[in-house]
Amino acid sequence: MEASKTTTSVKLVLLGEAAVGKSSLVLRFVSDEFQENKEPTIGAAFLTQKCQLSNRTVKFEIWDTAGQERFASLAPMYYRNAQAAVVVYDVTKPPTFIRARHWVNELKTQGSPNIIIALVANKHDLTGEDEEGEAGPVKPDVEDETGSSIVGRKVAYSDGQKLAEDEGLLFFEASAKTGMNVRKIFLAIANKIPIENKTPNQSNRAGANETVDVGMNSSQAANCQC
Amino acid sequence: MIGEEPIVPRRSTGLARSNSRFRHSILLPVNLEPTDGIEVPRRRSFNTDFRPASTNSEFRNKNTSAESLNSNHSDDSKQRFARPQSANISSTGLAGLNLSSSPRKQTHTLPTRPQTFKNGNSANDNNNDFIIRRIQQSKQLRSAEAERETQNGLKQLQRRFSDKQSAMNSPLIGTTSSPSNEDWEFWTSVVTNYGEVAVREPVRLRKAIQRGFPQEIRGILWQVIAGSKSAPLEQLYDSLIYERDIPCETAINKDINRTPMSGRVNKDSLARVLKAYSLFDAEVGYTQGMAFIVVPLLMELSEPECFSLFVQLMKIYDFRSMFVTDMPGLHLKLYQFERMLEDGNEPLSTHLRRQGIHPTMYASQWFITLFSYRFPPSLVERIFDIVIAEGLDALLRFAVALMKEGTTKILELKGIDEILPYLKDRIFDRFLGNENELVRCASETVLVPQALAKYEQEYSELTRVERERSIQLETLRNSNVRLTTSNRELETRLEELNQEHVQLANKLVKGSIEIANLKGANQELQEKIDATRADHDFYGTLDSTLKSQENTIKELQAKNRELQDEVNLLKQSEKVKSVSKLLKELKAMEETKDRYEQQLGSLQESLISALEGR
Repeated sequence: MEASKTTTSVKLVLLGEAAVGKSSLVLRFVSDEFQENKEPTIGAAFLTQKCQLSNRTVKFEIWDTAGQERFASLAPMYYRNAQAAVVVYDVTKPPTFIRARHWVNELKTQGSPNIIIALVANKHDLTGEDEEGEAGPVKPDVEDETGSSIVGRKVAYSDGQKLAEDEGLLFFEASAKTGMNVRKIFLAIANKIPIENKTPNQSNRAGANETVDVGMNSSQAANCQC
Repeated sequence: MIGEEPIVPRRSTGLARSNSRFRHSILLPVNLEPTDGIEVPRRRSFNTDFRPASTNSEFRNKNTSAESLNSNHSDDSKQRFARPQSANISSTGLAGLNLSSSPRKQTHTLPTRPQTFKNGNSANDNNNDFIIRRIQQSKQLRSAEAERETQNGLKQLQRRFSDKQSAMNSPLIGTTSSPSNEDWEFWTSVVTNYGEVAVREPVRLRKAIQRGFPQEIRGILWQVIAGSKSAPLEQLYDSLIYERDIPCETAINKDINRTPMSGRVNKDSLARVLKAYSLFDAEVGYTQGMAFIVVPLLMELSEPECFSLFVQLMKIYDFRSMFVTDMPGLHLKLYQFERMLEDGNEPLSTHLRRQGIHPTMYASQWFITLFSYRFPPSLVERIFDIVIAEGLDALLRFAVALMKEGTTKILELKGIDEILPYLKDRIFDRFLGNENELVRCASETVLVPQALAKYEQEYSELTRVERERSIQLETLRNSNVRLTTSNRELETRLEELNQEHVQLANKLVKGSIEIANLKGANQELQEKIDATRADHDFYGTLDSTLKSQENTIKELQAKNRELQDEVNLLKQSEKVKSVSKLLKELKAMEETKDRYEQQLGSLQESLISALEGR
């Protein structure tokens, strides 16, 4: 409706164990590309991407951090003052889910008080499940067949969902490789970001929306030209 | 990521003793007992002991020194390795230098130098200080036995150097492969006695290092300068590569496969060196970024030599402090870098701060990988030359020089998304194909040990305050948790009490209403009783009246009956009279009737006779 849309800058940090696909998620979101063997991130990488919503533009300033636990002492620099965080785990590797839980706790205690956190179970493509069936019944664990790229799910959908519900997080199962749900993650975050502090009525509206509403977000996906 | 139980050195049998002792003595500062060092894994021949200490509990219980080592390990080993409290300094090659007792103190008290040093300008002096300081520190940190091994290694390198030299001078190859302008005589003296050259010809040495080491002998020079050639370490490497139980193996393999840079060397070699180191130093294990240091080394050296030099860089040069938990060495370097920018390049420092850019955001990867994460190999090998000669602090030279050369450009850029990509991926562009320029700029960057020490002090003070604050915060958080819990309990109890209160109040209200109702009912009843009582009185009188009337009625009835009897009597006499009268009348009537009947009969007879007569 308005000719000049407002632009909101959002500092977003990606956290999660090494090699869960943080950089790949960002690469998919920013460039719509995928690299099979993405180089390990040393320190942190910085990228930006804009999201056009119906009434405004959200500009993500993305800090993609090094995943190895040894680098954890660098992380506060990036999540301090961050308005949003994407905590990533590998749906085929249970220890990465434990690590994700730690990151959520650390963000809750050390991060900005109103930080919006999205929990993302990456590498859904390795589960061998349909993308549509993401909320469907959990398939039993499949043994790791050497040589097969399909590893099988090792973290149940309900585990991720439960953590998200307990902690008030957005939750998605995604695949940087196929692109499944990657934009949805950032759109869902963008939609939860208050427009500007100057317009309290708007921010109240956004702030009040505590529930995860994937349906609404997907309906807005058409508006994203990112 | 590493097995939690440190590996305990074998010290129980005489057979093993010689082995473990010799390994420790090589790697440890001389002032320490062999038991105090970082534990070194056993060779393959002893690898039944080479596993988490838990499986070795019987052995540990018998050996108290091993136990104490075990418990001390995580707290002190790094400190002991990096900064010995005192050192036994060999004066070989460093005649005329008064060395202070510890490297830390040294940064405050510069070595007294012979008269010949006065020729250089102050910047040169500073540069040279770092080369000589590096030599001194290495010697302090090495045990006497390790020093002997270093000297043995040196002899080997010298032989290899002279072989190379004679090969290059031979008329067959010399003209094609040997750079004509290299001062082979000088390099010979460097390889022969590096320490002495550093003292006697500091300016020449500095210039030679700045020009870059000749490619043919770069590997030799790195090892000579670092004093890293060590037969025992190389033998250890040869045994470590046969280990099968490697905690970091998956992480190492995964990273090598996804690091394009590893393609510059044999990936298997790279993996072996990293795995061997992860076993050798279980506390550090494998940290992402190590591969970026090992690749440039591996381009010049054999695997065992690369391992040995990497060990030297980690332990003696203290690269290790950048890779241990919390990365204190990295944070210190970042702080020193930030302060150097603040003090030496105020406009840039202010600009970056206003744009919200902290050195952590771009310089972490410079320091952790010695600039090899994004920088081209031609620049990286030159940086390695100088870092190996001067130590880790030389990284600051390059970082500050890069920033200085990029200042004009950076000041033009606005916002994180313009500045950071430049700092991370383009700042070195202008030095591509012009590596000497970067080295020249770095060499011109004045690095003052006192200033670095001051920054270090500031940093430790800051971290101390920070730590205290976080402890305080933690205490507050804990007590907050406790208070929140008790608050919650109290709230629950309050809620219960409130509920009880509400129930009681409800009961009270109900009771009141009931009482009011009862009162009303009572009133009604009272009224009824009163009314009834009044009725009762009224009926009492009525009753007696009734009774008297009844009596009267009875009397009257009795009289009435008497009268009736009288009447009846009277009536009976009356009746008799009338009956006899009636009877008389009846008799008369019957006589009349008979007469009429006779008359009628006669008439009938007359009628019948009349009829018959007719």
